[in-house]
Amino acid sequence: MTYSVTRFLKAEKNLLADKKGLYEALGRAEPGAIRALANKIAYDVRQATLRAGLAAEDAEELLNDAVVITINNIRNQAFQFAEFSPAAYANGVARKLIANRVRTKKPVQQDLEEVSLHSELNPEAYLNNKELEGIIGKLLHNLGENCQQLLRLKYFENMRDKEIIEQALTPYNSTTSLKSKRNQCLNKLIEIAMEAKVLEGY
Amino acid sequence: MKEFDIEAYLDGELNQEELAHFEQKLRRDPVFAQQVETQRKLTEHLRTQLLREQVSSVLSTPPAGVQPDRWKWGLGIAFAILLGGYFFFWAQREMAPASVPTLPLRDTSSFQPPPPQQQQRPMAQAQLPEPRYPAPRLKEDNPKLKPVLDQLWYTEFPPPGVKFSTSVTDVTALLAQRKFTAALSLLNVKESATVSNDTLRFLKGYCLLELGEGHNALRYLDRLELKQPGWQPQLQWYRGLGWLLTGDTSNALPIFREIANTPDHPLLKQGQKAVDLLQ
Repeated sequence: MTYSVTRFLKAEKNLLADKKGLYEALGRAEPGAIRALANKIAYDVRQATLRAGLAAEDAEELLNDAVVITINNIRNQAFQFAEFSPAAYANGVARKLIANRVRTKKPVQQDLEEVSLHSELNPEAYLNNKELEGIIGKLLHNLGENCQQLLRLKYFENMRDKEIIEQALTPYNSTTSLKSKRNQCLNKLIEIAMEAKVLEGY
Repeated sequence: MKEFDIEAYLDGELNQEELAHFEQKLRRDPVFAQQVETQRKLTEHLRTQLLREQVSSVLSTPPAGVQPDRWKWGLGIAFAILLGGYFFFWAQREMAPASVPTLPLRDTSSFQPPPPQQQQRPMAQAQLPEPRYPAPRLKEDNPKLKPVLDQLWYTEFPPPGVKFSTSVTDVTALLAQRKFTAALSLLNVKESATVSNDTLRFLKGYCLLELGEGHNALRYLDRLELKQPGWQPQLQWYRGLGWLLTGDTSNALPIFREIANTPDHPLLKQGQKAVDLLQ
């Protein structure tokens, strides 16, 4: 079902024009919304990265991180719609990440505009967790398709057990069996994460 | 035992009594408290990691349905055919006697007419054949809406120009034979056996639509709207019909208006007909 590039761009444009719609779609981590947000801030992030004396290759990673943090903060309500538009918020996050990157590379702290925005964001904690989470992601892939799907439906799609059963998205036909299997999967993940010493210090 | 259900506790789903019991256990049992904290942290990291994978995957691949090269080639070929046709037409016209009548336009799925003006609507609708099959029975009896739906039930399967992968041939065969209940059962089995994908969701949404399950169909089709931008025109039409099935014309009408106001929409005429009927 291929139509056209312009149709996609139109959809993206419409999404950006509707800030509340974009905010909600980002909360659901919808691909169109992710793409729209990234496209909207990509130029600014790249310019800010270069202005801060960082390499152009850093811009891509910083952009991805800014989008992830923005969506995460929408999901946990740390970013509420009334404050900023999603693009302005993501730009602020990117600037803070850039400032942190500069700080870790150079002894003297660089002055970057508006880095006081999003004071609740701790880039160092985010980056430490990023490494740990990458390992958790790899361990998850070792659990097999069924466990990955069960954990994904709950912890990424945020679907309720009743919805999962109604839509027959898994082989389980009761919420009890679904929950039981998911618990087994989660405990297995915790077990292998413990073995891999990923969860040390908790 | 729900009172020690860590997942329910972390999701805030315990009732007051269960919560009090759970918190008492947390205070008295440090090993259990540690277990709860570990699960809380791990699921938090898991959420972020799954999100990071999604963002990274979306930003590293072009959007589904958008294939610029094929699009440009297609446009080039179409332009060449049009140009060839134009010269052929003029050559024929030069040679033909003045009294030879011109051929009437045929309405085929592959032919896209130029965008009609508002005043041309009756003519555009006159070219639109009636739907081949009536709409399904409505869940709630609505004697006014059913005849409207019957006139708008353009749900040809497979949709023009759409090809499905061989992994769903058995389902598409049943849908083409209009055996919707059997197709739905097969779709459920497939969904259980494999990770659900957008094609299965699209087929299930369509199948539920034909079974008159407006709300359920919308749930499947809505989730696809932004994931597969290339499917948008067909999904838009299905969504409009889905809302009509639920009896909600106020949500259906804006969708049909959007279709009717999109000059290159493949279901433009159907959209115009829907707007006229619903207004």
